[in-house]
Amino acid sequence: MWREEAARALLLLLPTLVFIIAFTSPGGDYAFRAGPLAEVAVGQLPYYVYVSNKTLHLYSSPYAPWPYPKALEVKLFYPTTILISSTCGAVAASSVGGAPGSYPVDVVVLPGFQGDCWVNFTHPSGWRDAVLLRVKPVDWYPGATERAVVTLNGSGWQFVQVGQDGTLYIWERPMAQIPVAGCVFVYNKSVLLAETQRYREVAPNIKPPAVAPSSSGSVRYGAFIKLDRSSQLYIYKADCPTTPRLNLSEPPPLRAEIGVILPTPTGPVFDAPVVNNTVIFTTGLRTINYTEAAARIYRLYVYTYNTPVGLWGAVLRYNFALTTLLTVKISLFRPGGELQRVGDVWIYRVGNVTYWIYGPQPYRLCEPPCGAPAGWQEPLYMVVDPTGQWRGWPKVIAVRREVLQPWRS
Amino acid sequence: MSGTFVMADWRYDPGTGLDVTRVCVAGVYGNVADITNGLRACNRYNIPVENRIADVLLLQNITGAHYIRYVAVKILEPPGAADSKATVRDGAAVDAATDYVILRRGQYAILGVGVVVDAYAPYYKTPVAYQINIEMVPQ
Repeated sequence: MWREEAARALLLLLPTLVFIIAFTSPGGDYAFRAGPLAEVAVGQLPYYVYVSNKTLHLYSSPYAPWPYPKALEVKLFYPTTILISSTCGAVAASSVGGAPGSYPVDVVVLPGFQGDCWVNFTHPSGWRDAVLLRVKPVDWYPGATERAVVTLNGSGWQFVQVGQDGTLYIWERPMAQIPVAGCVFVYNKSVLLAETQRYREVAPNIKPPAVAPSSSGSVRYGAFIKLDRSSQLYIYKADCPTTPRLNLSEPPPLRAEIGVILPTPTGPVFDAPVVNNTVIFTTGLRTINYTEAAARIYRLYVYTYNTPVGLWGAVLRYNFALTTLLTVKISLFRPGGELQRVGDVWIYRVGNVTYWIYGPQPYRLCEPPCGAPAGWQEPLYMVVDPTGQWRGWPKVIAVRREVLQPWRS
Repeated sequence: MSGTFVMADWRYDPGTGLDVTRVCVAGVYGNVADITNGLRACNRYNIPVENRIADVLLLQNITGAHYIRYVAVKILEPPGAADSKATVRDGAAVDAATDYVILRRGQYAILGVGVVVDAYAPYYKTPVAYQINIEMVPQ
């Protein structure tokens, strides 16, 4: 009798066992292994994220989403899929998985987010895990670890450039060295439209270097700011934000008296330059006309550029041959009008247009005659203002480097 | 050689590093003036040099180069050059260079100037300025 019962019980138990295993072990082949379904761990994080247990202290930026690529990592031990959700939209992926292995999870903190945010990892089997993101807003461009803070004092529109070597240029004129070179300019709580333009040396080993816009060479990043007294400009080392293409017109021609009077056996001649070649460069913000011109005793390297703010600029660089010729007039640049010296700049006023020039004296009459210039002359940096609003180059008051530090509460 | 008909001053041009000697020659309008002792070019080197007028260039046409009908700059001492004279006629150099003369150490060349001034030249005005390059080459 008991044999019969035992046999019946076994017949019932064996299929039940199989069903129980099938339902509770979605891992199939791995059904008889012990251990958890998956593990959630902290992945690769920049140094400015403070981590305690499974809480991440992150930053959010007002300017753009702050990406933390591969911030979390899911280690999956079974061939299944883990569902991911976040209470603040910080994770783009809705699930990871497939084969066993480890899967990085990118976290992106949306602009301006503040407070706590959970990232939940769930599985239909009931397994779950979660990571807490504590987010603090900070006035910082996302992704950058350091920034340069430049305090400028001046007024009106200024064209600021940063070279890869950290030189700060304002209207192409080198003004200071800054500790961080990058493409992201933040001024007055907004990210500025920026341009990228390459410059190369037209001749090696000239001091100061004779540079001109080029399609190859070292990169300068540029942006326009409208200064009002003392203001701070932040420069971050980060990728350039995409710039919409502006409608740009051709850069204006230089209409001026350019040259020196030279003696010849038959009489004095005005040694004016003849254009050799011209190249036009278009950046996100400007159109640049680079021209090389030659005369009897000098070569002139000049580029003019227009801007979207109503002003335009130019840089002139002369290379004079070594001669012993005397001259009575040296006109490096004279658009007309009287030359005035105001502070460290030269000013011409022609009608409503003001020419601001920084560099050697642009116009000189020699009485008694003086020698014609020889060798490379210092560059002439020029800003031409038809608006009557510009008040000269700003002053660089202070330059500071700041590094983003982790936070914890 | 400063005097009534010739005056000279000298200055250093810091912009270019040139030593510029300015020689003013007074002519007589409507007439010929010959100045036989206009300028001395001395050899201050320790070796003999070859000396010549290398260039005559019209530098400045101030009140009319054509009033000076004729200018000649001649190396009077030492003698011996086949072409010792640079000449300008009506404001254009017709012979802009001379041949070399050799100056021993410490010796100097004496340059003379001859001018013919137009009868209608303005009185007490400087009509023209020439740049004259004097070349000294170590022998």
